[in-house]
Amino acid sequence: MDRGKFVERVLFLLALSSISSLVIITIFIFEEGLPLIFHTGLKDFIFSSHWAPTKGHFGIAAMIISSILVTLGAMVLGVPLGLACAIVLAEFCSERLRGLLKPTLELLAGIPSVVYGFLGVIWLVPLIRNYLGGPGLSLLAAAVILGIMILPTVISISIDALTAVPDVYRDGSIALGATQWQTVHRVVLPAASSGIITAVILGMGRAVGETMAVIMVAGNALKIPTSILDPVRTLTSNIALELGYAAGRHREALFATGIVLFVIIMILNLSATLLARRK
Amino acid sequence: MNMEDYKIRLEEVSFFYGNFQALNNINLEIRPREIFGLMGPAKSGKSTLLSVLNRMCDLIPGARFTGRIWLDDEDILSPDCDVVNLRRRVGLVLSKPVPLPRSIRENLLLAPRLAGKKDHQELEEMVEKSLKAAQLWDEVKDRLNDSALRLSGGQQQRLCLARTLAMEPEVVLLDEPTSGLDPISTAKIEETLFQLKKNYTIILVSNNTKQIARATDRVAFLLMSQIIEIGDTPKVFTVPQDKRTDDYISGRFG
Repeated sequence: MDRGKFVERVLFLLALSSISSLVIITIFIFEEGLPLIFHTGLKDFIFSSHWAPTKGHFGIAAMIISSILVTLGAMVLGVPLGLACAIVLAEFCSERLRGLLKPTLELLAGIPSVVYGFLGVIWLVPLIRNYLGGPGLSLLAAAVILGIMILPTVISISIDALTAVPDVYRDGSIALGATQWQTVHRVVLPAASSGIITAVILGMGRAVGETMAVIMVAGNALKIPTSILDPVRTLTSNIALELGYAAGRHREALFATGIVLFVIIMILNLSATLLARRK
Repeated sequence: MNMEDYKIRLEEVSFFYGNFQALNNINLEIRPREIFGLMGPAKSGKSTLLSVLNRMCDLIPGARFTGRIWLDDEDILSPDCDVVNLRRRVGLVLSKPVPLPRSIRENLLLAPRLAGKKDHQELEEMVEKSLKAAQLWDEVKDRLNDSALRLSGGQQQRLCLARTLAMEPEVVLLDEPTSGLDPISTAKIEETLFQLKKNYTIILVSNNTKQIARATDRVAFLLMSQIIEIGDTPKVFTVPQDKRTDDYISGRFG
């Protein structure tokens, strides 16, 4: 066997192993979690909010609702901010400034999530406690921190989508008597819409899956929140908090929670891929 | 100077990209409702001249200009000029006419909507009127909601002309409107220009000297950023005054 063929085989095996790790993880989670879902019933597992694993009650509705609310909150804060930032950088900035600012913003993604959580505990939580009331550790705090954490994803992918819009569209619009803002709003944004929606969905995936920062600022109380100042426990927090001492059915229930998360994130990523391909 | 004598008048217009001088001291008058041709080899300044006439040149970093250009009695190079309004009066059909990836109707409604028109009836009439003016109506009237990208090259070119007409300009600038088109589509576009002449002042840039000879009333020959010769088209093509013009139209250089 000559050298080229050999290298090719080795690279192929390496590529295969990274894909197989995805397959193995999937099989493992489902194998560990599915027995509990069959035992409790899918309906009770997802729609009951009674979580008392030591007494045999496995209902994760409160956590699902908390996860959804935290994610929505992060979207409400992060998407307008990220999109505005992307529009300014892609459409109203000189190329040099964009070349400087975009990598800087992408650095945000490299900060470990525990650091975001730490900053949240030190600054944000006392701020909420003192000015808005409640314990401070809350749905709002988690949403704000996640809103900042998804910024690099939203901004970076949105900028790529905006700069991919051909310049002939912009020139055509300006030649038709559009101002620069009209061009952005009526021509460029619609043309980039599928890429921007992809950016939002991937940001959402990141928000749903984030664990560490959320545990640190969300308060982790096991109930359906009635106000944005209430402490909440998300699906991911619950797994991380309880896995250390869980055994038997309890352990299975945490894996089953993992299945729910897995399905949510798969749906989000799949729709992002499909939207990106539609263009 | 009598207002009726010219629609556009350039006085000592020079234009620079950074250190490169793309237009050198251009003096020119364009009469109302004529088709005025600009011909010359590549990089002679034809397209630059068009882009100055509706200030699309502002989009190019490092661009600067001197001189005056009168549109009727307004100096469009003055800092007070409202360029957005100017671009509505002087419509430019770009050399690469790319419709937006939307329906035919949406492409045509863009300009009137940008100008703030909302009346549904009026907008629908505008679609029909501009498509008829660009000689495209019969081919697309049954599929106005189809994507504009499904049209053929010649149809897209006429659609881009139609969407410029939909903003009701006074002057239409055309940059290579038939480049890459087959002879039948080219003939259609030229026929369209003759019809448009009744209502619009038209400036046509083309690399194709035969087209300039067929389609224009008067012509200017540009070479290396300068105007070499201006005159009535038949005269320039039969008895050119300058040897370089003669060489160019008979294909000896360029």
